[in-house]
Amino acid sequence: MKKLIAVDPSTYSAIDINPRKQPNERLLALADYLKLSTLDRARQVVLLEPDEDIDAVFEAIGEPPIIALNFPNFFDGRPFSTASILRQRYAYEGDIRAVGAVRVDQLEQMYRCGFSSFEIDDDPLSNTLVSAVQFFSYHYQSMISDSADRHACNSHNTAKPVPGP
Amino acid sequence: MYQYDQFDQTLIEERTRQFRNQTQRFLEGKLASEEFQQLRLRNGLYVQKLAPMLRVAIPYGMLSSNQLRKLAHISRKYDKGYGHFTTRQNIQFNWPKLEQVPDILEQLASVQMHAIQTSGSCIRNITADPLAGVANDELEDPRPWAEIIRQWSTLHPEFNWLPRKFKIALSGSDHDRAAIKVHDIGLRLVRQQHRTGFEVWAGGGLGRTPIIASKIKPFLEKEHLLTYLTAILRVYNRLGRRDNKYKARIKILVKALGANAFSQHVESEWLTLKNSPDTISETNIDRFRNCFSKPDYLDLVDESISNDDIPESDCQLWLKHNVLDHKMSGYAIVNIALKDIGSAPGDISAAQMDLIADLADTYSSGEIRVTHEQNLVLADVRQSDLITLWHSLTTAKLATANLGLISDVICCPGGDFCSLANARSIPLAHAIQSQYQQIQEIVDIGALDINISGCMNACGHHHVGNIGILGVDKKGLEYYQISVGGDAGEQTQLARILGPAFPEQDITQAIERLVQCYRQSRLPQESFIQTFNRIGIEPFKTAAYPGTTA
Ligand code: SF4
Repeated sequence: MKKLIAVDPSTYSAIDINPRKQPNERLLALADYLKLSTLDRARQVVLLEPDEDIDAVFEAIGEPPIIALNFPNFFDGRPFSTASILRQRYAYEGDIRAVGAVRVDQLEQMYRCGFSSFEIDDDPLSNTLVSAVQFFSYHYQSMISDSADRHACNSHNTAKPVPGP
Repeated sequence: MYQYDQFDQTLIEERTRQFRNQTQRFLEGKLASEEFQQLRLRNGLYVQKLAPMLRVAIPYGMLSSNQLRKLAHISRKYDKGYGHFTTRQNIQFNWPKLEQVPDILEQLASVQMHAIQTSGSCIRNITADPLAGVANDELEDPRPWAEIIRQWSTLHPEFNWLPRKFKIALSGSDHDRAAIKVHDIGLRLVRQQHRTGFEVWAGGGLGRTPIIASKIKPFLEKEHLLTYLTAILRVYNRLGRRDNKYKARIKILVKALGANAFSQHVESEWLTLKNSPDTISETNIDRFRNCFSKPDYLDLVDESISNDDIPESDCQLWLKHNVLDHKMSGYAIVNIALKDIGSAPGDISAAQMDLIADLADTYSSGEIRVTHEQNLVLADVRQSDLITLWHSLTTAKLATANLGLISDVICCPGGDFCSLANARSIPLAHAIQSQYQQIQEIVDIGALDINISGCMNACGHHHVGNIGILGVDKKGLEYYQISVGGDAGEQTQLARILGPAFPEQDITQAIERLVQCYRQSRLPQESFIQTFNRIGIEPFKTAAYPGTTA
């Protein structure tokens, strides 16, 4: 069983969005999605595979409210870059959904690259989701979802040195 | 050296907690072993032939004396009382227990150390010139930049699941002591019209398909370093092959696209990234530079050590081979060779670690550097202390005067420890070191790098050895393929294979025939590699296989 969860960016709290899922909402492969009329597209979610060229695809799909990126296995890192590109290059503001082999240990990385909802196994471990998404207090990179006070450069200038090493 | 602030410290402590939780879930059967494998690798933990192996990061090879003492303590408490320095400036412990690894990481964190990203398909520990800051041919100290890259690459969310491992090396001198052209990305500090920037090389690497990197950008302004690296990594992460792990390194991508097309991909990716928040401000550059300020050097003059002061000929040789010029007058750079016969190249006992830490405090700036030749460096020794220091080192068997000479063998752990090996490499290193013990002979042979790898993965960097030895498997027997003419230095070049592989018992004779070939063919003052470059491989082939027509 899978369940769908989103993270509220202002509080980092998890919101279970299963109930809000539309009754007929399905994930559609790109080719099938492109065959739909604009009206029908609005009711479906396009699912992109990691080898699809996001630059070519983004224009073709218009700006749907949800883009799902598939993780064919948990060590395929391409969707991380795809999400970053969607947010950075195309300033895409819709929901980027992680589906497929999505693991709790990777949620923070996904979130920081711009993913905003996650389809994960419905098991007790997944309830650690909230802490997994904001596990680290600080980050060295300035990713799209990182609030400025958690950036390395900003924090370094105010942090106190630790004696040693 | 770089000192953590609360921010850095919090981050590694949290990483340790996260890893403890992952290990616990695995031990309780709540985390599948193929998932835990990937997670533990990203924290330096392998499962080897005999036991787990933990690889600890030594960023750009810099250690404080307290950190070295902590490594000694860890090796006593959790291992068998020794550690092994690798060709990538890291240290490995070969016998830790899986369930104790989180405790080891906690100990490391207490001295600002970690094992983050020392293995797995992610950005590995950043390596740099071990003589950074003290070399007299240096344009700019590369360490502030290495630290900036270390931080940027640590737990980078986008690049933790790359097609394959990714290694970045950095040099700030004309003479390349960081082998930047055999790295996935090599950076060299250059100056253009009084501005500092980087020459960017990409797509180099050893392993199964050795390739020398291509220059993809002649000048990158320093403030754009991280956004440009992001662009390279993003192109690689998206386009690098994932269907075949032997074709997954960036070198294969650069080669397949061609260096020009690859660099165009990077440039167009960079368009969106340039000037984004990872652009480095002048304030931050200054902050990192200040972290590597010079020690308080005294105003000294160069000393000439008279022969009467030198106790014995061994010391004289040590002064000649292991001591290098420092950029400050009155100071010297001392190399400590971890190549004593009887222990594996790069191995160091806990007692030796403690001693070197003390010597670093007494005679140098309290810092130790690790070189990719698996030796250690005390970088700030006063010339007037050299002889006293030599006495202390000799007593601890740490004064082998063979830096850069034939018995300074570079060698991976090989079949004795590593489960990927085709053949053992340490016994071979010993055989070569035992064959060349006569110091007059070694000195007469002169500069000669021998590099040994136990398999194609090339951890011993055999492709860039003047003589490279690779373990191969022939119907279940250990054989060794010899290549000649590699060079890790300025003229980075790859060694060429001589011919059929040799059985173990024939290797030392084959090496001796190559050495004889060189000694007979050389011109005055010519080193092995210079002779090779002048006469080519044929004479060496003929010498290596007597009785066959080349
Ligand atoms: S070269 Fe091969 S045998 Fe040697 S350490 Fe690397 S993987 Fe192991």
